[in-house]
Amino acid sequence: MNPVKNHRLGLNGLKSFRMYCLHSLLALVAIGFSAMASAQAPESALAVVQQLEQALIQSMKDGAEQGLEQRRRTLAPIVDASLNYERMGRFIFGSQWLSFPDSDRNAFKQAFRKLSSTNYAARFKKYQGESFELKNSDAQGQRRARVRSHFIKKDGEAIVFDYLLLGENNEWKIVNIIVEGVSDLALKRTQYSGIFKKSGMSGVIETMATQEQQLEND
Amino acid sequence: MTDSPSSWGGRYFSVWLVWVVRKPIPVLLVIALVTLLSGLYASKHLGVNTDPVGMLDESLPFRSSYDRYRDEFPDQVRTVLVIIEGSTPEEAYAAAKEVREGMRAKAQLFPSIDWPQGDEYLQRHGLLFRDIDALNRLGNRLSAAQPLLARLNQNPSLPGLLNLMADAREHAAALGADFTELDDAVARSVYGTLNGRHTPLSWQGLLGNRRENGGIYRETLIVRPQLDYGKVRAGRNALEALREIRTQLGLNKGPVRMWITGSVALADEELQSVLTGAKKAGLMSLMFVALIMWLGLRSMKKVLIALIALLVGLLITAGLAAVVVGRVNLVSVAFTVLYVGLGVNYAIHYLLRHSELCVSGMSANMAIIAAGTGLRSALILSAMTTAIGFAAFIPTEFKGVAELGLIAACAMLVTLIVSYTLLPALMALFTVRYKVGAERVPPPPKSGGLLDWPLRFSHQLRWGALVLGVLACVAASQVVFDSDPLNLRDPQAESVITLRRLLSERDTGHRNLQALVDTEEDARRISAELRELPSVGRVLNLFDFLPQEQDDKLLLLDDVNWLLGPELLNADYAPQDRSVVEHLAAIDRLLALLGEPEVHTEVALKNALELLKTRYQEREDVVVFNQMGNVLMGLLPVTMERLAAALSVQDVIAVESMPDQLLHRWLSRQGTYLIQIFPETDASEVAQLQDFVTEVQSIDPTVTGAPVIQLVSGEAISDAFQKAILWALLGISLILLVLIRNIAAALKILTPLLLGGVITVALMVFLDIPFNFANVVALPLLLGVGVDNGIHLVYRHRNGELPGGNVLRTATARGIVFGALTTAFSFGNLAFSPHTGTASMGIVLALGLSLVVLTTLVVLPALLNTKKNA
Repeated sequence: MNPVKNHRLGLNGLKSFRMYCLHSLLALVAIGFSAMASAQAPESALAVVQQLEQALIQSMKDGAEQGLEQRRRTLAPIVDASLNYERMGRFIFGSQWLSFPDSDRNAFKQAFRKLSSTNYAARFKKYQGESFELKNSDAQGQRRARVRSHFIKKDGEAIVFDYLLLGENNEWKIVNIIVEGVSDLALKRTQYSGIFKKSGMSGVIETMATQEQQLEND
Repeated sequence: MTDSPSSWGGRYFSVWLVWVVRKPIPVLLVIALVTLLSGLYASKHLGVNTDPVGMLDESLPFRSSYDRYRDEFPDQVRTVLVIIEGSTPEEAYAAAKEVREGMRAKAQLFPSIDWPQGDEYLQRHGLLFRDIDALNRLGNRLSAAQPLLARLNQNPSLPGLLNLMADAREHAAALGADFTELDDAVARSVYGTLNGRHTPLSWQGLLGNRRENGGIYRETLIVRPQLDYGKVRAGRNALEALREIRTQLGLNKGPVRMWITGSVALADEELQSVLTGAKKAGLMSLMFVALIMWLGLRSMKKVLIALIALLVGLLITAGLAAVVVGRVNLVSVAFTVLYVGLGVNYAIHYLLRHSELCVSGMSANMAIIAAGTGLRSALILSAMTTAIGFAAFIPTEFKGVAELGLIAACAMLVTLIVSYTLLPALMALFTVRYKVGAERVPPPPKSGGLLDWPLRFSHQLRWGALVLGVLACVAASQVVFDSDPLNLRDPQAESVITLRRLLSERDTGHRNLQALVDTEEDARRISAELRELPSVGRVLNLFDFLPQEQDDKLLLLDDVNWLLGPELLNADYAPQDRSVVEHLAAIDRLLALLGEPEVHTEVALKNALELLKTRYQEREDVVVFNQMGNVLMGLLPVTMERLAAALSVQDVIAVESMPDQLLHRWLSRQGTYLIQIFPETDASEVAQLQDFVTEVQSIDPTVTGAPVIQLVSGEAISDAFQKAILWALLGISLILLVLIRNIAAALKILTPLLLGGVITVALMVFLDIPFNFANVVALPLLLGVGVDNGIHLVYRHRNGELPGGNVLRTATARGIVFGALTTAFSFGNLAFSPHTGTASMGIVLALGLSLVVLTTLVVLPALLNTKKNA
């Protein structure tokens, strides 16, 4: 089960986690940070990533006893705190996002929130000893940070995660997750803007609802 | 042919010639010294001025604008254009970069290199010039390509690419993605390469915006080279360095090519072609002249004497030119060839008359004195009329030709002096052993026959001449003037060919007008008004480099950066080699997925892949695959590098933050704003150019630029030409009247002259030869030269003792014919010059002179026959 091969240009890069078995423990182990370009990411940015990753591991562990909906509700607040939906919306639709009516934007953000937390809950459902290892990070000024993390599978293979964080008023949130080089947001843009052109925002929301349904049924 | 000894200072001439004949050696020594000094001075101080604008008068109105433009925007005026062309944008770009590096290594030769496409500042800010919609679309394309690029980054190789294409197909439905572009590009590239063509895959085309260019992508570098004004060819060092760079980089052959054009290259190649043409013509003229003289004079010694006189005259004139004028222009270079034909006539006449007198019994030395004294009026008159033909240009606004006129007029004076010093001295020194009768003089031609026709049919001839004259006038009125300097140049020169190609594709500012204004408001206002004009295409000024909505665009581009992620743009995409097994596996997998395709791009892709497999199986060498990997992915790094630069923009373009080199192309250090005005058409026809200039001048009368220069020069030279003809006729008529003192005779001399001239112009119309800057000197010159023949003939006619009663049987007539032949031949040699302008000058002069001599020999005797003569 080569993670590289399994990583399709699919709907959602996180699909690949479907394959991974989970077993016990391994919380985050902070491994040495090797500075890549500029300074390290600020503490608050690292904290956001760590918090999300811890919650995901926890969801894996809870998967033995709790169902999808329950875990989703546990994850939801942490996911909300970690992701910058407003920005992601803008990246996905381009500059026209700024001219959408509030109703459209809110509808998208709502659907996106729901889908994200469902997605995480669906992916992270079984624990077989996986863990996240924070590798390194860099920052460009007060606005940009990148945090690299390895997801260690049960067989020891590592998947590279790059979190791109945006800092606003010293509050850091994730705006893009790049898995093995593939930008999640780019995939979403390609898919959603295509649907938007054909069927408008309602079409997009519908698609997202369908995707959610599929996850729940799995 | 002798006048009374007292007229024309005959006594003084005789006395002088006696002295020369007695003591030839001191005379020769003095001449030798003068010649030597002249030659040395000329070789050190005589320069050639190739600036066409410099040939025009400084007081012309547009010159102040032109001078201001040249002084405040020096990097735009004397430039070399380096043109790089390739079949993909990446290759053209990469080559241009290498060329620029090569030039930077020789910074003292290339102080200013302007390459907008490759300018670091413009590259970084380049995307800010696109509108928001275009940037959104770019964002979409890059998003769609992001996963592909990420995969390629992990496995930059041919199997990596093919597997990626296979993966994409397996999830085609889910992705809703369209593969036709990628399939098509890969298929074309593979297929073309396997068939021996150069067809690398252009990633810029896939990722960015497509530019339909007929498959040629062009980079233009505008270089201001270091010019060495001490040399005749000021741009030579820079141009040779560029050609060396071209050879080193292999851009003189192969799929990517480099071409050199621009004003410096055009001027240099023009000078080369003019000099080559003049050298060739000069040598050929000398040979022809020597041959013809040998046929006429039948004596090697005499031929040599004549040639020495010629060369001495030329050297002294060169020295004179260096002193009086300093720099000659391109038209003057042709003069050296003209001089061969003109100067030698004096020697011919002198030597022939000398023979005639010797045959009739005079001693050699007496003959020298008698011939010289006797010929004095004819020769002086000849020199004066020829000088007038040249001098007619002196009082005109066309400085270049005015200078030529001055030099040439002086040259005739020099020739005259040489004829009365060097010639008799040489003849005295070297014909000491001359024996009467030993000299072979050509027998007089048989009586009857052709030579008597002008006498027998004089009545018909007179009327025929009149009719012909009227017809020729009508035809001649259709003659045109071609003011485009490009048409004067050697059409095979690289700079000319390249420029014509750029002009035909509207890809050059060669026919632009430039406006100079003092304030920003003026710049904006005038640009807006200019854009309204129908004959105006684009209008560019500094403020076109300050795009709108820059802040919004910066945000948008920033978003794109977030979308792509930091690793993607800065990664290394250089293609790596892989094993045969991997290649075959990837090919087979993709072929299996393609199945039996119906979409034509998929069919093409399938065929290409199968062909690739077959080729490998024929060669059994992994190189086949690895080379294909380079073909398909070799250009990706360049594209990614440019993309990374363009997407990293963080600041807006503002006048304050623009780099100096860019800023000062549009705003001079003196605070002048430049407006570049492009014509709507390619302005290759004068009418289009005229409309363009007229309309633009209605908004700003002070514009400058090549079109204005061309039109003003054209008017100046036409004007000069008309004035010169009038001056020439006036001067010649005056001289004829004063010296021949017979209005009728003067008119008879002028008639065949004018007839010949008009027929020449009529022929030019039939042969589709326009007047241009080079050959416009021809007609006044023809008047000055042609009239000599009539003068000689009339004088001889007056002096009686005509063999068979026909002036055409005299030695004078033979002298006229030989003289005309030598002159016409030497003029005609110019026709073989690679420089079109010089060649047309040669054609018109040779044709014209032949016609004038013909009319003189045919019509003049018929006219003279009305006079009762002994």
